[in-house]
Amino acid sequence: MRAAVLVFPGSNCDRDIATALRVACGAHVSFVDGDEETLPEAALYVLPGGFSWGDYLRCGAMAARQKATKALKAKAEQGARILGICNGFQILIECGLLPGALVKNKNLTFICKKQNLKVENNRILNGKLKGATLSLPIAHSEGRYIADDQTLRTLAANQQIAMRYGTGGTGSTDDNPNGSVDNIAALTNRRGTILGMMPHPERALYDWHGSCDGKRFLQAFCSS
Amino acid sequence: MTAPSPSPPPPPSIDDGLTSAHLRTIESLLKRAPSPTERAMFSAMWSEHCAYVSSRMHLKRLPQKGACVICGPGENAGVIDIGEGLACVFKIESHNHPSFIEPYQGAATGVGGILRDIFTMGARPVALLNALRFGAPTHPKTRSLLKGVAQGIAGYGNAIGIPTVGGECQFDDGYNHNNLVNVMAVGIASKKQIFYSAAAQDNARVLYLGAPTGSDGIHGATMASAEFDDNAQQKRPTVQVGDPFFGKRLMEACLRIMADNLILAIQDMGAAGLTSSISEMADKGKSGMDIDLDTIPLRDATMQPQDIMLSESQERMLLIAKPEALDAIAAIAQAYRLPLVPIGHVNKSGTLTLRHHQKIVAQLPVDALCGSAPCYDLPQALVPAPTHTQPLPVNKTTIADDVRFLVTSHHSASRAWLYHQFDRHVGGNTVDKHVGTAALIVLPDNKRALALTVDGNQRYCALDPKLGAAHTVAQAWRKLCAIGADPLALTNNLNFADPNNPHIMAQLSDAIDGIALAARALNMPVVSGNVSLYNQTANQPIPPTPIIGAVGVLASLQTASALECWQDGQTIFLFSPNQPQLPASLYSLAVHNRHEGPLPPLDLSLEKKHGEFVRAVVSSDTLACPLTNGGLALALAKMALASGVGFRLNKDLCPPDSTHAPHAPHAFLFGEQAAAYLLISSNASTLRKQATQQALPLIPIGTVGGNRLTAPDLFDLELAPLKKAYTSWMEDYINRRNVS
Repeated sequence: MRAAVLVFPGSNCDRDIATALRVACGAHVSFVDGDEETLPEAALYVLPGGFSWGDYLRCGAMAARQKATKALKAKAEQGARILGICNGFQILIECGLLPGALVKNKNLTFICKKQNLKVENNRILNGKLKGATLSLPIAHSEGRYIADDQTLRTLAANQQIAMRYGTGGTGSTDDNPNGSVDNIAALTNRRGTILGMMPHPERALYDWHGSCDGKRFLQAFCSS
Repeated sequence: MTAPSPSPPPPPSIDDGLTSAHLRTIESLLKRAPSPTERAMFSAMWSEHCAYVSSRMHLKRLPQKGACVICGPGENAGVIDIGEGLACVFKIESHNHPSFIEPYQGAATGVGGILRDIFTMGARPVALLNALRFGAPTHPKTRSLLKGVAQGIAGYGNAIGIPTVGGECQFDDGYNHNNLVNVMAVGIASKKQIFYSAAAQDNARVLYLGAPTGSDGIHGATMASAEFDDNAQQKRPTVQVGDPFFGKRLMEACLRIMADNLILAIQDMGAAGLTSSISEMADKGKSGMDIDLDTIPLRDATMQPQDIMLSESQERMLLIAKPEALDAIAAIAQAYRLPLVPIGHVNKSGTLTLRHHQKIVAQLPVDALCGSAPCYDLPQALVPAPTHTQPLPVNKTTIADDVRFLVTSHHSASRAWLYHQFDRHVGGNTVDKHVGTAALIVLPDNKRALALTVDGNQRYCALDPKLGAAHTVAQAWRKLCAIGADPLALTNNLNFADPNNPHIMAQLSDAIDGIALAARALNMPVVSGNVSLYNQTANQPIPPTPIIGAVGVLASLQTASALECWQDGQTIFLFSPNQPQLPASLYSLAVHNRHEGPLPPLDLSLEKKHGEFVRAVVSSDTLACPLTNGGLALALAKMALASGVGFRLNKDLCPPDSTHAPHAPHAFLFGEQAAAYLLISSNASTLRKQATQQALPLIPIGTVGGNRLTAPDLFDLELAPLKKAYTSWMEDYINRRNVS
């Protein structure tokens, strides 16, 4: 599998996700500078975590307007598979490729911890990990997902909610670290080709990471 | 060339710290009066911060050589050989004064500054640790300082993408007016690609890479070398402002430039900015430099030469380019959108010549600036600390309350509120583990790991600086051994008050002796460090606080101890010299408000022997936990809290008639001692055999299991409510839900 990781000047999980895709899926990974106007052909495009353009404005707002991201939007329209992790999720929302918004965590601080998550809809995981509980690290300051009621109804109806925080399922407040509405931790687009997620699968590959669930997750996501 | 105007310097706009004696020395060195720019440069370079004027002669006593040492103190950071072609580059530095005045930026730039010291040597930073000291939780400033410092460390470290993997944070009213922020950074480099700062090659181009120079941080080095008074807030303009996004691009650009081997030397602009970087590069290269200040990128075009020379604006580097590599360097700078400007040349003159608006504004022999800084042997007179004369009024019926108090108050409650704000996973190399010993960063071979720790013990050092500092080193050694690592080398940050006070100077000198003693005995050379003096406000000195950062290597992740928590059914052993003492203990201070000596004895050969045994036996079924503050009781409680599994001690460990240590209940539970560990094993018979073979004192004291913390006849506590109180103290404190 060929994967292309878009790199912005403040990306800091670009090398980590590249390693993870190689380790978990045997992928051939290339890096694409945010200034590139054309993207290489790839089975997967990744927007990595980090602070793309410093994120002194809304997180991801600058990156969403850079050349490579615009090219990515064109690819998205053709049905390309895209994974946005953490800051990448924020960029996908800023691009308009996913609905809603990610705002400051409810407790107003950065949160770094291991987090239990429940797989809600596994279409984007190729039917794998149905209902699974995964332990993945989170690390963000602006990860609280919000959306209006109409959007939330649409997301639910189209099975676009890929993962929720905690193990309690719909609407539970069980272990919701950042105050996301309906515990939403990961979303897909309507076609099921784009996934945005706050947790970091690339940080859960080995036993010594404390969980190998990230590897399981990426393997499911990249299987076909 | 004409020398700068000999007219007497106008009085500096703020006190530059130079005395009339300094000025006389400068005039005799130059055979004329210094120009305003020259005076400013001397004031920075001869400050405590840059020249270590009061500590330099004492620091020489630290052991700096060892088999693993590639580069000791004197460069941007220390470098040690960690095998398989790799080097570990590390250093600790303080940002105490700035973070008291402006906690967010002070802490943030502390992180940025120490990271630059690491990547300047060609190493990619892989970990940050911090040692923090705040005043009493009840002091009105403590809450906001803690919040600001936490956010500042998070704001810079998380954004630049270097994980913060460890640290320690303590509260003590001795820091009410002067908190401490010490940050240690650790990087990994190829042994063959270490870069240094000596600018030696005649006619090589001097390049300025990074952020434009602004008016922030002017006289920062001088500020950090003076005591505060009640008007400390007026010093806010001397605090630098950090930009982690710029820092990230600068780091990546420099690492690229060094990977492509495009430069001869490199130096970051830290304390005293351009002044110290050009003079140190020239000094190390036995050369001179000719610099045109009109070329320096400025944020404020009206800045005067002395301000340009003293600015401590962040995220700036100085490079000495290989002549053929100028275009390649320019291409990299452009790719990372960084200003890159040639600002002058290296020459063989031994003189720094600075031009501004076509005039020479400074022309100084490098020797005068760097080699002639004052070095004081300040008088020392240690005022002895009180020693224990009356026994503590201990009461057996309150032991459970005492344990609960220690675990759920500011003394030892969980720091999760703080550490959850730091990204500890970015980079993907952090070993996630539950029990707080040393942090582990996996090396590129995916098999070995760096073991890292920072430690400090002002409670001991205030009573006996020499023995206390030696204990601190021993504690760091113990933590590395407990995780199974081979301890290799140290960095230190010496935080003290005003050295002109003979008592404080004696504390500093004695602490250096203590570190030297233990570092030598445990074979851990001190390869880098920092001294932070004048940590006092309005005549209230901080307790002497040497902070020790230690680095070791774990040979195989397979043998790491404490990757797992303790498990139901495992046997708990006490492995100790069996000399627990209550005087100087955390228990004595926290519960009885008695802070008095003597310290527990420290037998370094025993420390070494026990550490080596522990390192050899830890494995997937035997884990170790060092006994430190709070003794046996706190170590057991913390293991139970971290693992979510209780324990039950054996009966009759403290027979009712025993009133003397080690068996008197309070000494047994709360007494402190060196060379002591808990060993927890599911393979008890093998472990006992190993100890017997070496005639080592290993006593089974209990079993892991259940949901209570039980020591028959002594205490019995339920785990769940204890854990709740332990976990929530800090968050409740920040949100004003509790009082202490």
